[in-house]
Order: sequence, then structure tokens, then C-alpha cells
Amino acid sequence: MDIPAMRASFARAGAHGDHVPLWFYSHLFLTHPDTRDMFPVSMAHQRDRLFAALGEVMARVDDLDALVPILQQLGRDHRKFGALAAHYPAVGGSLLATLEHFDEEWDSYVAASWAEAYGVIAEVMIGAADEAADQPPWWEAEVVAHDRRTIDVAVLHLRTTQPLPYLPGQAVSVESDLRPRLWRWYSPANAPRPDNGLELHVKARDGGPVSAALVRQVQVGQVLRLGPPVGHLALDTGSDRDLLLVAGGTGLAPMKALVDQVARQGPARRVDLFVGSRTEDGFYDRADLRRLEQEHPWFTVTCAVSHEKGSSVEHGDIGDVVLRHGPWNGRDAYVAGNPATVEDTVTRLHSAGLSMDRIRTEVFAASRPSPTVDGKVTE
Amino acid sequence: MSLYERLGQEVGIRTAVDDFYERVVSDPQLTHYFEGIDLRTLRGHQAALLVQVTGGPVGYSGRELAAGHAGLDITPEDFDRVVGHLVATLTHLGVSEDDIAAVGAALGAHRDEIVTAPAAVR
Repeated sequence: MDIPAMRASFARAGAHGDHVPLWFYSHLFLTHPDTRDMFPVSMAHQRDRLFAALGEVMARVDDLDALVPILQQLGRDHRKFGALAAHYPAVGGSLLATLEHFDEEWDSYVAASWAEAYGVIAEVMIGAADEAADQPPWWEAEVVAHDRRTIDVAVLHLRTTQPLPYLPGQAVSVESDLRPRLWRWYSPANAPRPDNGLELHVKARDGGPVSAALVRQVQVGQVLRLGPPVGHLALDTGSDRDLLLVAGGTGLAPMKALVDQVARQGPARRVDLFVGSRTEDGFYDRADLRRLEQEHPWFTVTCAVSHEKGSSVEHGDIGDVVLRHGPWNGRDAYVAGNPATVEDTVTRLHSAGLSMDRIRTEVFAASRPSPTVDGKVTE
Repeated sequence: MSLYERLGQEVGIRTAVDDFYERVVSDPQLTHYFEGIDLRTLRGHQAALLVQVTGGPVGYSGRELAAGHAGLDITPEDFDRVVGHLVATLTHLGVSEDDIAAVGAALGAHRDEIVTAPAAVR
């Protein structure tokens, strides 16, 4: 497998822009018409996804140790689309045909590399899907409460009909009849509960079909579908160090799940949570955070706004505010929020002396496409 | 609306077929199949076939597909190249994913009538 040659070939093909995924899906649907029903009715929000994810994964086959767990999660996750072992060669064939069509320097040598890499990836994903055969491909979850907290944020309380095992900090994908076959990732804001209750924090994104529907349209009593859990933000089980949690926006959700886990399972440790927002209006979950602070003497919450002078909370970028309250060198740090917040906070913590292997992150971008290969565990 | 109508009926399909054959016959790997072939007739047959399988009027009077391709020793690789050109045509003309899948379903049944040679040994 010549990975540099594959990367170069993917880059040459990718230079053709939007034509590439369009051609890829057209080829897939022309050669395997039965796959059309696995994708959303409108392909507008889909086109860049599968192809981009394939490219990202393929370019990393030289780091199988890191890639295999992600592929296993993806393989289990793909059961919800109805993906069967037979579909993998179809996608592989269309991927190679697409690269051949757009890469001016395509030859049998690079074709063989791609075929081999794709074979490895498909084998890992299919194997993981087969091993998960005793689990449902998705879980049904009834909306038991829908609480519109701000103009664009809602907190949903769901209850699954069967237990959905996940680690606090992980994410599940969500689909609704309002937007069939469009799945988006959300992190439960609680540890798994005996009553199968889940709390989701959803921010309506501009042009985001799923998030807008979940914030503005979904009704109590409707049933959503949830995919299997993914992600690596879970607590380091080998550590009992105190925790520093930093959240921007709905990155609060996985942080709350970690707090819930410490409360339910221990080990006893101090937990300090910092929540950042542009303005004070953005603190959509303040009442519940205050309740947790009162219930747990080991837990504190500090809110900070970056773009509102004269508010009652601290002022500054969240990374700045966190450092002001330091030092944090004895802590394990978990950071979730938009890409800029996460990057800035991690950079500051690291430069203040916190080792990178003690910092775990998750980026909450608009329309999180799937678990990213980067950004889960910062090294 | 039938797929035939969505593709622009006979005019739309003829446009697609012309675009498609331009791509196919200018592909050096495929051009030998068309030596001595009357392309105008062939395009007519192809258009008639497409009209028919997409729900338009039945008018395909050409020889059966299998008979038409017999003796050409078409390999799976070359068939796949032709599929690639059809993808290029359909995306170029802005045909929707749903209709492309429908064309695929309509034509897919005929692959075995066309591919008669084994895969090339690499």
C-alpha cells in the first residue's frame, strides 16, 4: 500500500470540487440502484459526507492502531443505514471509479493501493457490524419533554424503549421522521440511567435541517431513532485525578454527562466546570447547573462571557478565564465546544504546563458529520 | 410523471445519448469496438432502448441486446468504463440522483447480455 501515492491521488481528484461527490453518488446509484434508499431524500446535505469521510479514513490507513477502533464504531453505526456486507464492494467500486475519472495521473499501481486499503477498511467495519448483531441497529426514543431554552437552543428529554449502553461523553446519532435518513450527532448530557432517560442539548444551526427540526418542530410524544454510541471523550478510567471541564455552547452536554458519572460512580474527586458563551443569554442550562452545584460540594461552575460588557459573570474568552483560575497541572482536562474555542483552550492549557495526554477534546461544529478521526483524543 | 418524461422525453434522451456516445467513442480504450459501425444507427438504437426502459413508447426494433453485442468480446472492465461515461453524461445534464438510480435499475438487468468476455488478467 503506497499511502503517499494514495493521498496525492485523492488530492488531485479532490481539486475538481463538488463534481467529485456528485459523480461518486451518480456512479453508485447507477451501478447499484438499491443503495439509493439508504441516503436522504434530498442529497444536498449529504453529498460531501460519505466521500469526504472515505477520503479521510483512507488517508490514515498507515495508523491502523488509531483507525481500527473508529472503523469498528463506524461499522456498528452503519447498521442503522441498512448497510450490509454486500454494499461495501459497491461503495468501493464507485470510489475507485470516481478517483480514476478525476485523477489525471491514475494508474494500475495506485488503483491497487486503493483497492487494498479499501479492502482492509471494509473488513474491519463489516467484522464489527457482525459482532454487534445481538444489538439493535438503532434504538427508538420517545420525546418525553421538550424545553425551548433560548431562541435557538432546546433541551430534549428522551426515553429509549430498550437500554442504550454508552459511556458518558460519547455521542449518538439522531434521526426523526421530520427529516428521514438524515442523522446528526448529539452527546447525551447524562450518564445512562435505569429509566433509559436521555437529555440532549440541541442548537439550531443556520440551514441545519435536523437541528432546526429538533429545536422548533419536534413534539412531545414523537419517536426519534438513535444510533449506537461513538466517540472517545469518555473519562480516563485509569485516572482518579481531579477534573477540569471546559464547555462552549452545547459542548456543555458531554461535560454534564461526565459530572453525572462522577456523581453516580465516583471516584470522589473535585470537578470544576467552566462554561463559555458570547453573551449571557447563551447560558441555556444555568438553573440545572446551579442545582448540581448545590447538591455536590465537590463541584463548581464558572460562567464567562466573551462579548458582553457589564454582565454579572466573568468576562473573557473561556480559555483565558480558565487560566485565571488555575493552576490546573494536577488535573485531567476535558474540552468541548466550537473548533476555535477548543483549539484556543487546549493551546492555553498546554502552554500553562498541562501535558497534552491529559487533555481530551471534542469539537462541536455545525452539522457534525460523523466521529472525526482527529479531535477526539488530543495528543 | 414517468422517468421518460422527467428525462425530457425523446428529445432529452436523444441529447443524452449524443453526449454519451461522444464520450464513449473518443475513449481510446473503447474506440476499437466502434470501427466500421454506423454510429448514427447505433445512437438511434440506444435512444430507442432508453425511451422504452424508462417508460416511453415501445419502439426498440433493433436486434436483441445479446445478439447485438455477441462477438464483440466486451470485458467487464470496458463495460465499467462505459458506465463511467454514462455517469458523466447524466451528471453533466443535471439528472437527479433518484432518476440516475432509476436509469440504473432499468439498464442493470442487461449487463449480462452485454459482457461476454472474462475479466482481463492483470
